Amino acid sequence: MNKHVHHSAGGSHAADEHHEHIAPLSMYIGVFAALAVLTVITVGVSELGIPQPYSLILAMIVATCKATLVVTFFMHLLWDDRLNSVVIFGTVIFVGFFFALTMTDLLSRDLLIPETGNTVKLHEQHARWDTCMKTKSYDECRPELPKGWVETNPDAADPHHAPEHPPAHGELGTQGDPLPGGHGEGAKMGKGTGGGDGTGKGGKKADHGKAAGH
Amino acid sequence: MEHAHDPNRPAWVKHYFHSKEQQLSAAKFGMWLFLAQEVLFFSGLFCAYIAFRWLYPETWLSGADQLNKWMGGLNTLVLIASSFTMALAVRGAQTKSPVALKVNLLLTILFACMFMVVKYFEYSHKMHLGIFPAQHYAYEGSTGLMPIFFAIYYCLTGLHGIHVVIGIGFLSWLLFAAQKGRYMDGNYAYVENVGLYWHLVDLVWIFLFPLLYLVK
Repeated sequence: MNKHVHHSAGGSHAADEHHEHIAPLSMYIGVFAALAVLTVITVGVSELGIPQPYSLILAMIVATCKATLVVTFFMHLLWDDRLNSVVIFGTVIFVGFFFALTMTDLLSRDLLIPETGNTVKLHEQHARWDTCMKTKSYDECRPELPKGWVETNPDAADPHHAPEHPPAHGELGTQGDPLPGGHGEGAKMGKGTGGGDGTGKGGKKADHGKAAGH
Repeated sequence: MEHAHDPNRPAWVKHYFHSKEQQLSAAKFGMWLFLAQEVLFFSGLFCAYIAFRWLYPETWLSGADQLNKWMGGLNTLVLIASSFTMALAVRGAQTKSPVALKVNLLLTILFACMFMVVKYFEYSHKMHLGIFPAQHYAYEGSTGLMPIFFAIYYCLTGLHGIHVVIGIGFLSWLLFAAQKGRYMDGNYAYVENVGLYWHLVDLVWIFLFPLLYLVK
């Protein structure tokens, strides 16, 4: 049991020199007041009707200020071991990589329009569809469907091969398919494309298989 | 055993730690690693949010119409207040004041429950209208790609709500132990770590609130 006799005679560890920091009550009250004021500001600013990209940027700046206050003072990072700061800032940096790399994928994806051979930006096509769906039904917006898969699939012209499934599962673009088989938009979609005949089902399966080969 | 008489080495210090400071900072470091994992875990959903908002800006604008920003704002203030009382509870443990610890833990639990009550009203109102996530969405009053917005909404707020409920459990456990006289001997790593967890729950909400409720 003598193994754990401490070596205080030897070099002192950095942790030993660390003393707990007891912040004054006034600091906590000040941080709380600042957080409350920033919350009121961010709600108030949203009432002003600032145009889109700017209101989002403003809201994120306010949120980052609030987060910094919480991390620095409530979570004691200011007086903590620097190692803890390294952990959390390292994490935030990697979250940044994660978002940035995901967006480089989305930003660089174009959709091919086979009839013309032209391409269209993925998000532009999705946004067009989104805008259309805001006021119109699914059937009316079909021409604006993202990926152009209604038209690009040669079988799509055949009513038996109604595209109840998007062609390539697993791609983000397939989310443009408004949730097949469900209620709401999905139900509308089923109505619009099912055709109501028995052969439609077989066609769907074949369609699906072909799509996976793409 | 010499340790028993060492005032700098109370009985609760494990034999494999060099000092009580080392034990406390190791516990805290472990908690920060866990919080790093929590941030990365939530970032997946935030990434989905970014991607879908970028693809469907119109849906996001009308989705926020379905949310009550005053309810969300109230809940933001409630969570901030709970973070404040949590920080004071840790301070109570630091200053060896059992009253400050217990009162602030109780207040934190009450604020957390208040958050969940407001959330309950928000959720029940939406579900009454038929606003369910993804393919279960059945609200007739709106058009567009709302199921996508509400899939993200329910995933983010739901996971956050689960964190709040787990936090209430940990806080109650702390209060129970504090009632029995614990954490007054300088061994308050549990209070500190639950506090860090609770502040992270607050941090997530600080970003969720403007992203979901204040889109306009």
